Amino acid sequence: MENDGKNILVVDDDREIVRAIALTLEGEGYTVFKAYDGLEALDLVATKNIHLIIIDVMMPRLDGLSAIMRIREGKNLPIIVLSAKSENSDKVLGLSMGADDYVTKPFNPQELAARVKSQLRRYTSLGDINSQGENVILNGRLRFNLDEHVLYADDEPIKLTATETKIVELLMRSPGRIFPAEEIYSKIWNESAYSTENTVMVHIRRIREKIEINPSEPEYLKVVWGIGYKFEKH
Amino acid sequence: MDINLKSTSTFKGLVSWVCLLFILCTASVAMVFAIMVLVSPGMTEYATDSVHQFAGSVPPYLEQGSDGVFHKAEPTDLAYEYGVKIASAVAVVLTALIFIFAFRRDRRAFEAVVARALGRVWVEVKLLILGPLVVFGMSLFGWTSTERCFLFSILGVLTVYFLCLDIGRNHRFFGHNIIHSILVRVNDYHAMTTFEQRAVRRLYSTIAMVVFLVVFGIFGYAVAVNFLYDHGQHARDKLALTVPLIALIGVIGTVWWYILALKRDLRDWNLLMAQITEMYGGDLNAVNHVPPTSNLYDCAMQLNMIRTGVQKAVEEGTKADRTKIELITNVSHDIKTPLTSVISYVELLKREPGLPEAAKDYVNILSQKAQRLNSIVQDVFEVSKAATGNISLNLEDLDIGRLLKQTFVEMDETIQRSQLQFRVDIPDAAMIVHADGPRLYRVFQNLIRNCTQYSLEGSRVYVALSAQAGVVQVSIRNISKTEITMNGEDLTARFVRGDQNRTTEGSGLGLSIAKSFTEACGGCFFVRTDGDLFIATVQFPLVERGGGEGLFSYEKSMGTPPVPSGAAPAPAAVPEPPLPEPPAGPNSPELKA
Repeated sequence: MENDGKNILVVDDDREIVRAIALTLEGEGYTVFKAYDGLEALDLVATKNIHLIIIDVMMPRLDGLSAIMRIREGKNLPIIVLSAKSENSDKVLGLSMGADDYVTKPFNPQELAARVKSQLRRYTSLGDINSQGENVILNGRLRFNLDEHVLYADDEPIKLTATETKIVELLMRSPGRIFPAEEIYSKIWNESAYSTENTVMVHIRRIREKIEINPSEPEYLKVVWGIGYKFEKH
Repeated sequence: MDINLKSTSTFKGLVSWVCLLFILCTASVAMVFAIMVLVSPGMTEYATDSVHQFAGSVPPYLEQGSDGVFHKAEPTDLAYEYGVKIASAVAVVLTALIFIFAFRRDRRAFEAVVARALGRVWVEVKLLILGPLVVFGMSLFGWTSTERCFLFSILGVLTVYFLCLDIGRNHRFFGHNIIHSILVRVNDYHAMTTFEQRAVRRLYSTIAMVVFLVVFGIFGYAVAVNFLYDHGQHARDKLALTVPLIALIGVIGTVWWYILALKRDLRDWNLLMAQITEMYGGDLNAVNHVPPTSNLYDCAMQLNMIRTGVQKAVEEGTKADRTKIELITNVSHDIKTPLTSVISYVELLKREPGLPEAAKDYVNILSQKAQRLNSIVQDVFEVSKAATGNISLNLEDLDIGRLLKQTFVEMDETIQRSQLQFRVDIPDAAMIVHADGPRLYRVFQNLIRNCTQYSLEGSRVYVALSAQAGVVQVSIRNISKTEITMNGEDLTARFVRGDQNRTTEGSGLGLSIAKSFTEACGGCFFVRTDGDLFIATVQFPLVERGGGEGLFSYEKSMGTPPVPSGAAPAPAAVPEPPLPEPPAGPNSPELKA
């Protein structure tokens, strides 16, 4: 299997959660190391060849964020933070400490597995893409090849319709910019939009379901409520 | 009207009362006259004379002759004259009596007023007036003058009348004396606050000082003039004048001192009032600096203490709020951690091969309920934060119509599943409101979800957006599945659900969250029921945009818009000076050239 030989470290003070994550990931073919506090995690990172870390924030002896800072001093590897805190400020803090992704508890194990896969892909394939010098737009786990007109998520091509591909290209070309639905419509269909925004909105929802790990909490194709849509920069 | 009535009744009373006094006086004079006639019949003429003299008229039995000398009139004329006089006197007396009786009720009221006025006079003053009257009456016994007799009788009758009035109406005839009044004042003084006492003491001491200085000046001048009598006119005047001059300086100084003290008090009052105003305005750090020597020092210190107390209470209030939030955060964290395990193991169980069908079914139920528990925990957390005003908002101008459309697209699956027909009326024109987009989405999401959960199967849901009088209103109307037994207020309360047995999905927090979020964004949220019709209304103030479509006109920002052929370029984008207008009339210079 493709995931063979990937060592993942799961750190949480709740042993049952660690076990559940381990079971899920082992089902996907990963090798899982377990730790129950920050210091144990540091030991394992130093001794084993770890490819990715899933770490809880609130732990005894050494909390998750401090552990991340210590790990980051020596190693460059993807880190996914687990936390029961769902506040935006907590997320921002976690990400600024050096985490690559932030998953709030309670989480769906399948979603966590998808994120693990995504992070591993990005870390391993990042170098190749840059060296190839292809005509691509890179944004986080997404890569849009302008020559082929194909969108890749975690290096896997996503099946999009022609219209969806056009919308994705338009939005990915200006990440962060807010596009009203009429603008998207007039650019893609080359007609002026009259009460046809719904068409655009429906398309965007479909794209989101294809490219987002968790479509109900989109990370890339976001709704700007009452204004339009945008492609978040990652 | 009322005042008019009162004044006429007072007037009637006054007339009646004057008539009574007149009758009393007349009766007393008549009695004295009768006594005189009885004691010595020969004195009749003399007495009549006296009466006339007293009244200032000419006796009718004396006629003024052409020589200007009075001489006796003829008896026939005399009888006639007397007849007329007596008749008119009787008429006057009768009129007076009629007035007395006709207006007796008003008179009594008036007498009460007079009695009250008399009651205010100290008994010492009354005695002081009575004493000379008695002495005067005594002295009359030595006199022979009849006019004095009449005067005495009138005075006597009036005195007796007023005494009766006073004693009869005022129960404290002797009680109201100077000593009593002084005692009352002293008692009042003791009952006063320190501040009042000080102010009164200051005022009285100033008045006493001024009076003393004036008296000293006058007496001192008199004494000085007497003592210096021998030292010649010039020296006497000069030296004697120094005494009133010193007194005058003293008076000026005293008044000056009083004014200064008053000004100091005013300044302290101002300090206190300024502090109160500042504290009222929300600045609890406002402190006054009234000096300890001030009359208002105690008051100022108390105000400072109140300030400290209020400050402490506010701090404790915010601390309590923070503790509450921390508690909610901790509790929700403590629930989330085991829930993570539950969800994870349920997922693992789902993927376990070889499970019997029944077990799969059970696992699915577990999974659903775990998800529901998760959403309830999230909702509780959010509504608690919103209720304590602890949510961070990102308010921006957005088009509420567009937001509604987006919401409907996002919730398409839920709506399709519900078998309800949604009739949505959203005008094309942008309606801009100032709100937090994601939160407003949550409001409508909750309302629509509410409809899908509690609407009658197959019924229609009406969603309408309208704007009038600067207010944007979104109303969502649906027919309830079950009878609504609560009013709108109760429905938005936390954990309330339409069905009392609480079997449906949902946390019972949907409307509560919608209300909290709408209000946090500065809007109004209310719920109305009419039979089985359930109406939720969200209102926001409409933001008037001066620049028209600034935010939503993408053509300008993009530069190369795909303009439909035939359409004119946007005029607003070309800020060129206007072209010269074609000449309007024959007088135009261009035309002549």
